[in-house]
Amino acid sequence: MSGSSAQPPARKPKPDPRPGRIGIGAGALAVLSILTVALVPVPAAEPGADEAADDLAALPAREVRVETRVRYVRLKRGETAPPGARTIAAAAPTPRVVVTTIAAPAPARERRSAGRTRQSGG
Amino acid sequence: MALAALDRPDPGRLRADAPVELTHAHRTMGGMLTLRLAVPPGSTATAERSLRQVAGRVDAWAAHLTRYTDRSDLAALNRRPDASREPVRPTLAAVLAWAARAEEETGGLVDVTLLDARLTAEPGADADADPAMLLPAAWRLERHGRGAVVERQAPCRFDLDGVAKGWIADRALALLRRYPAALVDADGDLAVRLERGRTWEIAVADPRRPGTDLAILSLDDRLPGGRAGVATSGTSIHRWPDGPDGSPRHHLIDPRTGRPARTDLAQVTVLAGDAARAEVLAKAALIVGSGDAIDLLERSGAHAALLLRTDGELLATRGSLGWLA
Repeated sequence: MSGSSAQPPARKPKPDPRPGRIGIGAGALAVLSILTVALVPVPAAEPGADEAADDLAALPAREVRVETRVRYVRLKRGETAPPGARTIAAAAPTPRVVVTTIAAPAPARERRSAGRTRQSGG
Repeated sequence: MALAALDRPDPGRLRADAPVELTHAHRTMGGMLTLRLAVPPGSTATAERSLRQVAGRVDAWAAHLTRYTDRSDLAALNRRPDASREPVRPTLAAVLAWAARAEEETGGLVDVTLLDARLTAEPGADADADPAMLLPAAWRLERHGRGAVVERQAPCRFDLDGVAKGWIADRALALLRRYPAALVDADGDLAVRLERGRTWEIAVADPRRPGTDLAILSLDDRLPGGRAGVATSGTSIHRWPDGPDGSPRHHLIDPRTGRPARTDLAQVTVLAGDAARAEVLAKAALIVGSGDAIDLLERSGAHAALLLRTDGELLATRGSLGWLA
């Protein structure tokens, strides 16, 4: 990191703290994905012999640039929207299911499950 | 591999035409990898070879993606946090490409540039950490020949962790496509594919009582395409005593603050189309807390989700009840 530059480092805008509400209708954060074909030649790493060619298939074929851009803001009490902006009322929250009737599953060693999901490292 | 075990069926208890299920387990990625296969009659030897080959591939992927050695591709990328352009090889590039998508799909709640924030949360962390490194950094990935180039727009170190485990589970499952049913358990993140007519149950561990289960998911041919992923995220395992100001200390960093998420959820389990997506959705839901998690999960198209609150209440998305055994 260079301390002498006048430009501050590019930090991403923080995700909105309440994505569930302001996302009604159009999503909380709009994401702009720009695909461009132009590539700048740089020294690329040599792939190792152990890397299967099919890992390449999982790569996007082009440059992928991902920028997050906040298009929606939550107005605080007393604030007004900028001229021309459309105001969207937050809808009622999604109904939720509170699970109260799950019978206690049999102990793990008595029940033969095909797999078990858990927190990593647990 | 440090430990390997292959469970073979007892030949004396099987008819010649009976379907066979094989499992293979060994230590990798700092945890356990378990593979499970439904094998057509007479194909056991071939299936055992397949299991060993896939386990080898998982080891190779993990060796590229771990941050716990200085020889991995990830360690090489992190060695110079302020390098603006850094070439990376295909495996790391592919996982980073997924990480970029995951960031988009979760509105930035899943962010792989927060290694320093995570390390700062751990006991004995360096108190003089650069505050700028604790917040998300913008970056991009360019395809370049047989690899790619990572371009940082601010200094950062990457932490792939669960993002990589979900990706590995899905990739390993794809390698087992010739078998009627297969399951890859990458240390708790599962990728599953089922043939028509087969049902496999997946237990959801209860973090409050080790060895017991919170619920059982019953997976069958209702799954779109016959495949799915199940993943669990939580703050119970990698958790340390709260800070002096009462702030929580665990490994799930909220990108909005650069600190461990203040959440009322102890654990979230998601059933989704694949393991990678299930993993990032579980993490994002846990970070936002129960107030917004249900909305987030409903919008994301998760098949089911179980959310255990710290007060013991268990919440679920609307579609979840149909998947419970």
